[in-house]
Amino acid sequence: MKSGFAFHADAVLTEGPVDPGVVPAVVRRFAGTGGAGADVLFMGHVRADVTEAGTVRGIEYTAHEPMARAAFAAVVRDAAAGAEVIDLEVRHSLGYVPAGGISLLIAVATAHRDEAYRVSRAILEGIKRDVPIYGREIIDEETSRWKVNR
Amino acid sequence: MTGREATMSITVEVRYFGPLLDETGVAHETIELELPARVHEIDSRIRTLRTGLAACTYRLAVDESLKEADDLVTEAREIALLPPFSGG
Repeated sequence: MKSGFAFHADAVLTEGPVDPGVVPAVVRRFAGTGGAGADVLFMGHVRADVTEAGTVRGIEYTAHEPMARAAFAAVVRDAAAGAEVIDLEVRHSLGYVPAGGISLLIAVATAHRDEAYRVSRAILEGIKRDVPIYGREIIDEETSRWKVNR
Repeated sequence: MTGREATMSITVEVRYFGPLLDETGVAHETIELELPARVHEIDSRIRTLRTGLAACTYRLAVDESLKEADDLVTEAREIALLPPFSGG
C-alpha cells in the first residue's frame, strides 16, 4: 500500500444519522494536508421510497458490530491498496435514520481524480458486499420490511 | 465428523441478524453443542431448534469469523447467523 493515511475503524459506526457537519470538517482536514488534489465525497441518504405497503419513513440499522468494524478495516485496506490515498473518512449509521438523513459518508482525498473516484467506489461496493449491517425500512408503527441491496 | 474424535458438550450463544429475527423471534439464545463438529452439522442443529429458518439463506460466523459448510469447529463461544448484508 502506498497510502499513508490513518483509518480508525472504531469511529465508523455512528448512532443515528451522520451529522452533515462532518462534511465541512472533513473538507477542511483534507485541504490541510496540502497534497490533496482531488476529494470525492459520497453520501448515501435514506430514500422515502413508495412501496405497496406505504412510504418509507426511515431505516433502522443494526449490525454485528465487532465483525462490522473488522470488515470496514478490510474493505478500506483493500480499496486503498496500490493507491496514493492522502486521507480518508468513512461513517455509517446505526439505529434509526429518518428519510432524508445521511446513513453513509465516504470521503477520499488523493492527488488526482481517477484514484479518488476509484477508491471511493471500491469502498462503497465493499461495504455493501462485506460488512454485516442490516437495514429495516420502517413504513409505520406496525409495518416494516428488510432492505435488500441491489 | 468421523465419529472417532473425543467430543465435548459446550454452551454457545447463537445470535440472529436481519430478517432472521422475524423467524426466530429472539436476537440471541444459548444452546448446547457437541464439538468438534462441521459447520453444516452445527447449522443442522440450529435449524432443528428453529424450524422457521428452513427457507432462510445465511452464513455462519464462529467467534466473529465467517466459516464454510465443511469447516471443522473445535471450540466456540458465539455462533452468528448472518443473512445477506444490506448496509450502505
